[in-house]
Amino acid sequence: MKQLNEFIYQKSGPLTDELALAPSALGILPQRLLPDSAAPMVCGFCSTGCSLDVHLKDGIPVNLTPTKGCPVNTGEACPKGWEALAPLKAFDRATTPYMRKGHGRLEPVNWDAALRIFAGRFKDIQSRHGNDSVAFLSTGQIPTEEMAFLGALAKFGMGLVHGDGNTRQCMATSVVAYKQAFGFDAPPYTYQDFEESDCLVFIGANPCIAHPIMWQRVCRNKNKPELIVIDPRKTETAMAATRHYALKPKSDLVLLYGLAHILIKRNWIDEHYINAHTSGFEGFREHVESFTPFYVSAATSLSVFQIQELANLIHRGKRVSLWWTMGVNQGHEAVRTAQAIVNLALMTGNIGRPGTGANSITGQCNAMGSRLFSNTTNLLGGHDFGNLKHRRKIASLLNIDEARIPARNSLAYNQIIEQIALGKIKGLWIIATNPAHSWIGQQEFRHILKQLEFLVVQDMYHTTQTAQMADLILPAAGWGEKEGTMINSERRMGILRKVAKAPGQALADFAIFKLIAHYWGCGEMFKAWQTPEAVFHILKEISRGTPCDFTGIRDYAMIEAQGGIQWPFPQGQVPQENQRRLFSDGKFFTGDGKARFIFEAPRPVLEDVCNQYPFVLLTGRGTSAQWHTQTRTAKSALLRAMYPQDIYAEINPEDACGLGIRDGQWVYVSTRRAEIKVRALVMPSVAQGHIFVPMHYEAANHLTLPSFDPYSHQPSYKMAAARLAKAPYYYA
Amino acid sequence: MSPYRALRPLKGIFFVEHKMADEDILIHQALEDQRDMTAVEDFAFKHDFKQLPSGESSYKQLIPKTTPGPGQQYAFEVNLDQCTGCKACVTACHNENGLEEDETWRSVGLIHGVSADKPVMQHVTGACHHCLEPACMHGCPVKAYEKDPVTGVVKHLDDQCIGCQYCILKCPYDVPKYNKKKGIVHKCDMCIGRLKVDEAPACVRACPNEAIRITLIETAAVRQDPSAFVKIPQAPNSDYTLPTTRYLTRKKLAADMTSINAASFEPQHPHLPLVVMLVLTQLSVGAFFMEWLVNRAVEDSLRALLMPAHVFTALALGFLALAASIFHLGRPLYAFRAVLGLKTSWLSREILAFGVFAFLAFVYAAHTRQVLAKPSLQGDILAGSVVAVGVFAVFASIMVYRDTHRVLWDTPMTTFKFFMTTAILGTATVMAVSLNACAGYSPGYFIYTVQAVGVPLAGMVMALTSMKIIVEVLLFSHVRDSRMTALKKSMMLMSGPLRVWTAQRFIYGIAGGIVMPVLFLALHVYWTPVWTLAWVSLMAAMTVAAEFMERYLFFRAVIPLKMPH
Repeated sequence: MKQLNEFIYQKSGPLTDELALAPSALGILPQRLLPDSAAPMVCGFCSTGCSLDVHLKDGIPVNLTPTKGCPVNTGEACPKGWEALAPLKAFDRATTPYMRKGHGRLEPVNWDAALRIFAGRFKDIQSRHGNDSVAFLSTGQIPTEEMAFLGALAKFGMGLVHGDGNTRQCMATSVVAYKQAFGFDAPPYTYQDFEESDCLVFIGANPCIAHPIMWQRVCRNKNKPELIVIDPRKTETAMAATRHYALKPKSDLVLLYGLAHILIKRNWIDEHYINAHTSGFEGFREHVESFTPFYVSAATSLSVFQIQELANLIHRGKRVSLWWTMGVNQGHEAVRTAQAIVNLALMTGNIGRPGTGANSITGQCNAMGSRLFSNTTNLLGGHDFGNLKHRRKIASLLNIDEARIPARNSLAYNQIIEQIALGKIKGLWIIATNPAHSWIGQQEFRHILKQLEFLVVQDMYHTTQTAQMADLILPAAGWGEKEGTMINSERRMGILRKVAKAPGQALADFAIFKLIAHYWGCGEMFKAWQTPEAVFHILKEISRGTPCDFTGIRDYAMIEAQGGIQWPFPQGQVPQENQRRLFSDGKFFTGDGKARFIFEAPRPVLEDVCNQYPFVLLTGRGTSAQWHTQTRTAKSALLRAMYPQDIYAEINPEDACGLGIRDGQWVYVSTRRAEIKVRALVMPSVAQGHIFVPMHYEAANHLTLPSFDPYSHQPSYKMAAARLAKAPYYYA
Repeated sequence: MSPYRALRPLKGIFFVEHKMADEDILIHQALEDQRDMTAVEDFAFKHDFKQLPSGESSYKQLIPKTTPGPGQQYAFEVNLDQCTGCKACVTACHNENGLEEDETWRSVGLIHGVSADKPVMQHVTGACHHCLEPACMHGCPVKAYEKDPVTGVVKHLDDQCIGCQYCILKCPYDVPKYNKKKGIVHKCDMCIGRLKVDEAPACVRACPNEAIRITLIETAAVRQDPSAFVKIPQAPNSDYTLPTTRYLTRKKLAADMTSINAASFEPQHPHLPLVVMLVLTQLSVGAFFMEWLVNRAVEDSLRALLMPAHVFTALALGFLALAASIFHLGRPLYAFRAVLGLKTSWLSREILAFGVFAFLAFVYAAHTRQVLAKPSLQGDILAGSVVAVGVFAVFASIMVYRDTHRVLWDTPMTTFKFFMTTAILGTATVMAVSLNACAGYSPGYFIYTVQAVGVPLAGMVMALTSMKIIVEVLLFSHVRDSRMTALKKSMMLMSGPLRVWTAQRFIYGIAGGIVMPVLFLALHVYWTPVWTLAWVSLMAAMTVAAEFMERYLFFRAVIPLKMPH
């Protein structure tokens, strides 16, 4: 009878049990996926460096939750973090090396053949065109140990001179700005500062979407802080802020000098701090003399009142912190803009104290590791290729012939591309980045790439736009399939663990480098580089005595036990505070220990709007569910549902009305480089005369203009002149 | 795009000379190392994974301290000012509930507009609103929904579900999600399993900004002022389901704010089994009705010829329709449960009505011989009840769709369409079957049938089809509406991405329902019987095809109700 009853009306059973929950040490979880152990590890997307617990059942990762009690993310994560396991299971993982064969098709080959071709081709090119005719482009997405291995192998082992990372596209400006101003590439803050500040100024930063877990810290701020956003767009952060100053694109440098002007005029500066800890202020005072509120108002399209109000807010704040991201870094005069922010912090004494600082929010998960150890434009550990003493130090620590270390700096990313265009560089090795999508002025770049004699792409997927152009693809293991450390935005080292099997013959980049060293014939040089942790100890030694000294870290286990450790952490230091900031003693890393005021007259943009192209084209992050060129985030069905599938452009309602464009309609956006078709998103997020196109869609960089900051060589993605027209039909 | 270039031939000298075995060992070792997972043992931490960690949950302040008292229930409360649109809640729901790869019970939309001359944009996170009068529950034909009397949580009984997906059509907030693999629907249960042990639901705990919380609400307050709940521009008006989620904000959200999805709308799922089921059940009901009309008008000998053919065709197509509807279910084995919801669900009523209709039709068909032999009152009652129950069943179909509150499926439009389809297809079918049935007999019979049955029915088909098509064409004037109404969107879909189907609908409809009957009326006297038969059969086929297209578009062009997305 009961059975019959259940057949007709069944309140529980196998389908209900599928979704049953059960308690576990990690909280209440799906019973079906109840873990028997878990591994905490640092997330592999952005630079926040959240810790994620990967749930393991019978040694297989089955689920993931953010680590509770971790000092970075305190149990939270953004959608990318929650979905971090999904990209590993994608169908288009590269599971074997591929080589371009006779008909131009990429065909699977074995590792031996791939590595022979790798070494053979590159050596052949070098023998004909010189050692510097082969270069590499790397990434901010692999662990520090792998970056160091790549840099050392390429430069000391293979004799390459030029190599750069995609960090050029995001962080190069901050690197140069900090180095010149502080004497070392040293973001001074700790995330606790978000909570301790009483006035937070975000310049060209959208943490709500780009760094949601940092914004969480802002929300926890108990001081009822003033949240100020300086951004041409009404971003999600601008919406959540207490004040938004929507200035004209690329007028930020003028605004910052204007603020300095007012602060000086009203004597709202910290004379004592300036005298004791900085140099170059007098010159700066003179420099900003001419940036009167009226002049600045005209240049920024903010009112005089707004500018004065902003200066006043900075003055009134007891703990003012200034934060910047890509809106500043990706500009034609980005370094000086970042330094203008540094200047504001210095002149008001807002540095070195809790809740203060001139703080660059980093982009990629290991951009900070790349900045110190990628051995591209810096010699390992923030050293200088041009400095004989540095070369000697590194040579002796690595036990290699000093002559193997090039005495000149690498060319920057854009210069490497120029050299390819000029036919000087003939071979290129690209690791874990997708420039055929992401590089500015993409089509020209693709055209240049075709001039190479040999292109190797090392990636998790054989389907990236760049991999599809390669002559040789080396299949790489991804996040969660290998180990190492990464350094987050607040200089905190976190651990990456191998919890999943890589598919097919994919290998950790570390293992690939080891094999290449052997096939190249320089395996002997890297005898000591057996495991990532061994390399970690080598890097530790390299850091000894430098500002980023982390010789006090015993091993990986210690990093894990502490929930990450911030550099500096010299030998002998006891792990006490888990939130440490720099410069509390007012001593900087320059020769005289003083921070520098650095400034320069603003320059016009390379391509301003005109009658023919009356719109300013802005690009940037779309949603928190999208990452860079989407090679990973697009692999998650869940994340895919969180952003528009079609490329779109945000258009101001007034502009749309004038052109007869309706929301959702297809429109053409064109610049002098290309014309693309996008869906109109008629939204007041952009000001009149501006168009915003998210960078995650391949066509976005057809439009952008290759223009670079002269000091950091970072591309200026956020300014191009564009035209807008509606497509003839609603459903084109 | 292939950047293929002919590579220079390589000479072996560039290879480093090793013994082959060296490389093999190295590569083998590298692959082995990569596959070796023993290190996990060293770093993965183990706890007693069967027990919750001791210590207070840090999310306690986000859930009520007590369980709901009388007149109260749990409800979501969202502080919009804290929501930045990061969507962590969406992914957390997925991971912490162990859902399918693409499944989640929460979504985040974005509305925007201008208020006090300033642009306003607002992300809106939404899951199930755990309504007081859940449309999903009332619509469910198998009683697979329960509203918990204490907590007020609207819970879906996964094992009772037959996968008819009617709740998806019924919910004005697009909450229930169909799981194709399992053939059932899933939905948010407010993580009641967590709340029971004082843990916060996944979305609540995952929000970095503490924008979501669970509160206790007075159900009387919801009934008193339903508009205070889910008070979001663009959110469907749902005073008939009484949702309980409260959205708080200090901002002014102007009523004319629009959402991202207001502009991009896509064709919906076609639900092909339902298309077949609706069109053929209506054909069957219409055919029984026309059979009854025609066979009472013709003389006995002709009736003896026509009636079995009529009844058999109507019955066969009716059964085919009901068989097709089974394919719509995720778990057809349990289809019989579908009458449990009779008290509240029009779908149950529809299913039962068609069941009775099929039964009576079958009895009627079985007794055709007796009815023919000796006309009696019982015979008339049987025939009448087949038609009456059939008409009620079509009415129930209408109610099934109008009950979803979707604009394209409103009462007048759906009533008109469904009954017109019934009439047109019933007429066209009976006409074609009549002529086919007597084709093999004497030429006199045939000519008589053409005159007595064919001509009036052709006229009817033409008139009815003309009416239906005119009304459907007139609807396209909504394309020019100044506001983006649901009807405008539907018509834009039909004239846009669905235009191929729309064109077919009108081509078949006009050809089969108007041009062919007119030509038949004008020219049939000149035609040979074979030609006439072919013509009439094709005409019927075209009208059926036209109605299939109409019904296909009925499903595809509808704009579902949902939260702004």
